[in-house]
Amino acid sequence: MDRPIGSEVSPAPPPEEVTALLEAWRQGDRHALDRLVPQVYSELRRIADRTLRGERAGHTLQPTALVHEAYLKLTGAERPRWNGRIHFFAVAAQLMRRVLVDHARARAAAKRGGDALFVPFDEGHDGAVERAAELIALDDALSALAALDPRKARILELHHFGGLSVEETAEVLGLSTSTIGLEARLARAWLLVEMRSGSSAGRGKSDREPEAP
Amino acid sequence: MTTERFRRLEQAFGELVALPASQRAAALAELAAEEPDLAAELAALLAADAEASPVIEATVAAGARLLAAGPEVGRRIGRYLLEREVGRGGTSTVYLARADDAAPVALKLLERRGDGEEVLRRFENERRILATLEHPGIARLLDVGVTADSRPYVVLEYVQGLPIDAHCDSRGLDLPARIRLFREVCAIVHAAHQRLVVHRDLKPSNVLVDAAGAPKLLDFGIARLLDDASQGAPDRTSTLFVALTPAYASPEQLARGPVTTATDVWSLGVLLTELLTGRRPFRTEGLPPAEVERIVREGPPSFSAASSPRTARLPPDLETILRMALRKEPERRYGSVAQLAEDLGRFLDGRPVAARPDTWAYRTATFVRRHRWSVAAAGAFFALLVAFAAATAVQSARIARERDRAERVSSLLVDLFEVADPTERRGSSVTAREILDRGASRLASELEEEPETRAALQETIGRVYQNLGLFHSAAPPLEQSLATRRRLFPGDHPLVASSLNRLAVVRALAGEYTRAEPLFREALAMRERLLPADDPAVVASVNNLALILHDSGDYAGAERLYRRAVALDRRQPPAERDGTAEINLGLLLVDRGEPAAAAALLGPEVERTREGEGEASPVYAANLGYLGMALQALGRYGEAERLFRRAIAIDGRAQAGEHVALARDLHLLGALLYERGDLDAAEPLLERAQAIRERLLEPGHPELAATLERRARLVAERGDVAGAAALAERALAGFRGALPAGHPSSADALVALAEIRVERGDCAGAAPLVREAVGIRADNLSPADWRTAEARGVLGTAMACAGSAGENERREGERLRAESLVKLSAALPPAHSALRWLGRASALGRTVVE
Repeated sequence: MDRPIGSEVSPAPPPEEVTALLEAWRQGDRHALDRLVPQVYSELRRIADRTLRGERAGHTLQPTALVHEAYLKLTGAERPRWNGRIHFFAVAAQLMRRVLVDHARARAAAKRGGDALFVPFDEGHDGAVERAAELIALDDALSALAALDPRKARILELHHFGGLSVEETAEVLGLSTSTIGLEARLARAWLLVEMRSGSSAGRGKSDREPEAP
Repeated sequence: MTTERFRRLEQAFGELVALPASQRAAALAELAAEEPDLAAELAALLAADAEASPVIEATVAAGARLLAAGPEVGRRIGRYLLEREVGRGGTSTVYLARADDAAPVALKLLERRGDGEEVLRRFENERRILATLEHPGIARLLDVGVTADSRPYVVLEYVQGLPIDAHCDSRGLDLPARIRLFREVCAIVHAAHQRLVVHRDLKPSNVLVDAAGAPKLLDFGIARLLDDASQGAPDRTSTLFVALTPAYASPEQLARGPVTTATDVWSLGVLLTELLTGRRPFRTEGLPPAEVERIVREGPPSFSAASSPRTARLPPDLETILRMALRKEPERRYGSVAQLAEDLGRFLDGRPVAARPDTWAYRTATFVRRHRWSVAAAGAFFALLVAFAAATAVQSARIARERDRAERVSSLLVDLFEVADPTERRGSSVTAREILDRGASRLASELEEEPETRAALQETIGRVYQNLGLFHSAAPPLEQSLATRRRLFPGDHPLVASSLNRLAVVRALAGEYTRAEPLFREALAMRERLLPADDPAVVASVNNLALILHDSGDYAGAERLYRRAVALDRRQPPAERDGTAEINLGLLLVDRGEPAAAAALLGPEVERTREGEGEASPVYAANLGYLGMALQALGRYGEAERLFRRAIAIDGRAQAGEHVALARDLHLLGALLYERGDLDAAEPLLERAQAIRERLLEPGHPELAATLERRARLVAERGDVAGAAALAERALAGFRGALPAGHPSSADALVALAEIRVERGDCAGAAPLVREAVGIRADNLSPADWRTAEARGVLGTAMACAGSAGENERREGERLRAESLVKLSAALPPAHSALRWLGRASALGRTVVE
């Protein structure tokens, strides 16, 4: 029997390479992100899993903490190589969004039903599809916003996926904090309205249609 | 929406929010008049802004949770696209996957990462072996691989079905049906074992049952594969390693020891327990790994059911089977899964199972042997310790409580054995007897707060006394033990039955048959209520009661019960048979005057004991004696003598010092030699037997009485009639005191005493005694039995020589005597004691005239 192993196997990339990928991505190399995501993916999942297990009920999981830890693990570095933490988070925010949304899309695409095979062990299993849909809607709305006003979308992304404060966002984008504040306010409101209206026809990145197998 | 529109919105929004809230509405209304669409949108935006809803944060956080919950769906691993998650365990997740448009497969992805190259290498060997494992009951291994991030995965045939426990519940299967299904599983596992593949991780989720009811096993050997694959993982932090499901892991797996087919036997035992009782045998939920390991490796399994509708208690044979599968030591479990299935098959058929409980427990279901003592005096206090340890293992208590109790008890024992410590300068030598006495007296008042332990210890001490032959010392602790247990367990309970039996045994051995019988009856009734008909404890009780009836002279009743016990015992496989009932039946037949039948029964039993227990065993010695008795009754004196001598040799060596077993052997040989006419050889033997029995038994003990009776005859024959009379009186008193009226042994003493009286010239006084003896023997023996003739001969002699007798009576007496003489001459060798006496009496009869 032929083995698919050959095409899959590559040892975990050395830390320098991860950093290089991140840097390349920051510079605009989109393909770098494609290669980064799988690494970050599993690492993030592991960390999230561990964090969740230690978490008390109701405590929300901080995405940014995950990202930070994942980054450290992958790069093997105590400090990011480039200009400070803020810039790292700026990069990470985008990565995080990509990872979460990709995953949500995959979950939403998965069809449930059929014979009960095994008892699911995680209580998050039920309603997973609904939550996935919400995040997808968020992502679609963000993308719609980006089409109209890239800066506003970026501000939201930095804040919600990167955990940056108003001041930090101002620093990353090179704007004043008051500008950031006002832009963010509108962006939020617009996003909310957009999410609730559910109208993302033609603008969302729904490149994978859920298909009944 | 266009960009311009958006700009317009932005601008308007900015203006509006700059206004104080009270003015916003007006401004908005104004705008609405001019640009209603814009106004509407703005209103929506303002509303959203005012709401300040945290939905965005919540959604992102939920997304992160989603990531943590199961990230892989939609991913492509090798050729396979993961479609959905179908299961998740502690260390791996299983997905329904598909390669291109092919049939669905199950892809099991392991969490941990390994070193890619290493993993591949290890996988290859295993993969090759497992790929050849083709069986309709096993989900085929299709593929193995390693992901980009070095996580191993295996691809298996996709099986649709329910885990076996869910299947059984959903179909409402009863106990036999569950066992039958389980046997099918065993067949599958066995097939794999024959290909040298061990599963290592058998549990309900790995045993699926499809809609047609056919079982299919998953992950065969995968555990090994994944285990190996993770050898190279960089962070092996957890103590419970990759492929262990702790609740199902065997002791050797937890100890990281070698895994064999016996490991699968264990897991199957856990699985079966779960199927039959609804719970696993070891309760480990929620416990830390170290505690789980300790419970599984050291603690006893529990088979109590979770709830109805399953049966409240498992049938004992089934429990025995489970216990055997769950023995801590792999080599003590079933040798193969096929054997486990076989035994289950026997259970379903109602046949006896091959599995036996642990030896010490089996032996505590006491069979009473008539003259059985097994523990040498020197080893008594070690027996105390060993038996105690065994007894406490029966108690299932909480772990902490056990610890406390063990401490308290061991300090008691330590105190006791300080006495035995040679460094303690005490001057006098300490005997086991002293230790026991101290133990008994201390237990009478101590450990009141631990009644179960105390009862167990007291039972143990009682047993040791019994083994030493100190029956009267044994009774008080046993009585206390029984009383305590009756209090603790009102109604029927195995421990109460055991205490009843134990006390009854001791009473019986002490010769107090009338006190023993009701206890035996109660123990038997209780055991019959608690246990199935052929349970060894029930058989033991049947035997014990039969023994009492036997000793009480109810030979018919005894025979019925013996034969019942024998039939039950013969249902066991040869290695597991006990044989006591056979022996006792043999003795009964000897007593009844059917020595040929007795020898036929006893001969094979002796052989079996020799093979089973060894030639140095006191049990073997005892059986030699019994067979000898039968042979003696058949007239085969030479053979009987050899057997008795051999028994003496064994018992003389085995029992340090003097012991009732030795006394018995000496008595038997002495009696034989006397009967044959070798008085010189017989006398010292009987004297010694009497001395031992006098020392160790109560004055009225039937065994002692028997020796006295024999000695009385011998002494009389020597000419010391007065001395003989004294002995015979004692013998008769002993029999009368211990045995019910009409007991055959009484007849012996009556005859002996009558003979002596005749020799002393008191024929009138002899007649009523021997008449009673004749009556007893007529009731219990066949007319052809020589002892009947013996008694009639003595009666005849007494009648003939009594001075007060009339002519008719005298003639009748003469006739009786002559008739007896003829019968005895035909039946017995010339020098037989009965004939010798009649000969003596004839001479007497001529000379004595009253």
